[in-house]
Amino acid sequence: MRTPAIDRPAAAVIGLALLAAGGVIADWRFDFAGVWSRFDPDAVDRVVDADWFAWVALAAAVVLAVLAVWWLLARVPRPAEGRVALTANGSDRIELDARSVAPRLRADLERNAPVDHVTSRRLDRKGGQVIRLRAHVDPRADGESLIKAAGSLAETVATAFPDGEVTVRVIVDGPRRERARRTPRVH
Amino acid sequence: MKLRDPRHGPAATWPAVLAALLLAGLALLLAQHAAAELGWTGADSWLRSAAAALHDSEPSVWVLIGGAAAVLLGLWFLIAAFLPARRSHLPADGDGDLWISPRAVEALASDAAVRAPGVLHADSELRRRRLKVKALLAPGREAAVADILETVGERLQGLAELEVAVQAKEAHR
Repeated sequence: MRTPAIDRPAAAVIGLALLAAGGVIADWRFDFAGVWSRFDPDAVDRVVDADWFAWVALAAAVVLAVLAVWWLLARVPRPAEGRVALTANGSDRIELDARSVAPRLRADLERNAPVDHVTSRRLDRKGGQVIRLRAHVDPRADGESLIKAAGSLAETVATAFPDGEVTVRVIVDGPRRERARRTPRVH
Repeated sequence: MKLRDPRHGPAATWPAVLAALLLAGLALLLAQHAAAELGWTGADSWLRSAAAALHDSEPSVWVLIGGAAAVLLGLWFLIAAFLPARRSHLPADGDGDLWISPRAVEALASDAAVRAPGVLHADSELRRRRLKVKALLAPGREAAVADILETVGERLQGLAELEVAVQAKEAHR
């Protein structure tokens, strides 16, 4: 799930608005700040009764609905571009279908590193793509073999894409079926 | 452009989803009012009923419950808005862009510790940069602590700069 940049400032503003609303209701009940006693409900009635208010409410409803839908949809993951433009001299433009690279890297990682269940995802970045490989570690693995396998993958990708149009990142998570591996030990 | 470190989802994600739904609810309230006032529906306006309730000398129980919920939600939204997204994986040494999760480090450390001579069982827990290995030793094998430190250190070599501590307990005869 993507996280839109608006989430945090908007959550802060709406949080403050909700706190203010709760405070006003508390003041209505307990009258500790005198805010509610200065409030004139007739003024609200006059606005709601005005002819123009129904149209303003309709316009506000449309704006708020569009905003809400955009805000919800902004977190749906966007697929990365299938093609990556390679750096080329002259007027020619060469594009590579990056979708074919990830399965090869997945297979290489699964073969060379003590990991299993490797998945991949392509992420757009400025000037190219990052292929993010995610795998579950074999508990018998050691740091050296993981580092060596990740280094070898990075070297392979750097050789194929010397200008860094495609790079690779390896993320290693805990064992997938830790419980299933726990066989009785005989000491 | 450098890629961002792997991180957990920010705490503001769920408040933001809820805030979007609140905005949609407000839009529905305003649209229903417009529809009722413009004669597109025979129902009474909900907004007009809410405005009439403002003339009461005291809020109803439902309004008070709504106010309490607004305060709790507001506090949650505010706190979540200022909590940063925590890094989910530790960076490893080497030329590759390798990141390892705390759970993977714990699994490797536990497996390494249990393979040390004289260790019956081992479990690990990583908090920040401190890896605590809890080991159950065979009777009379107190010296296994040094072996655990050595095997765990060797196994995790290059993965992350960690402070390893061993908490050992001897099994009864």
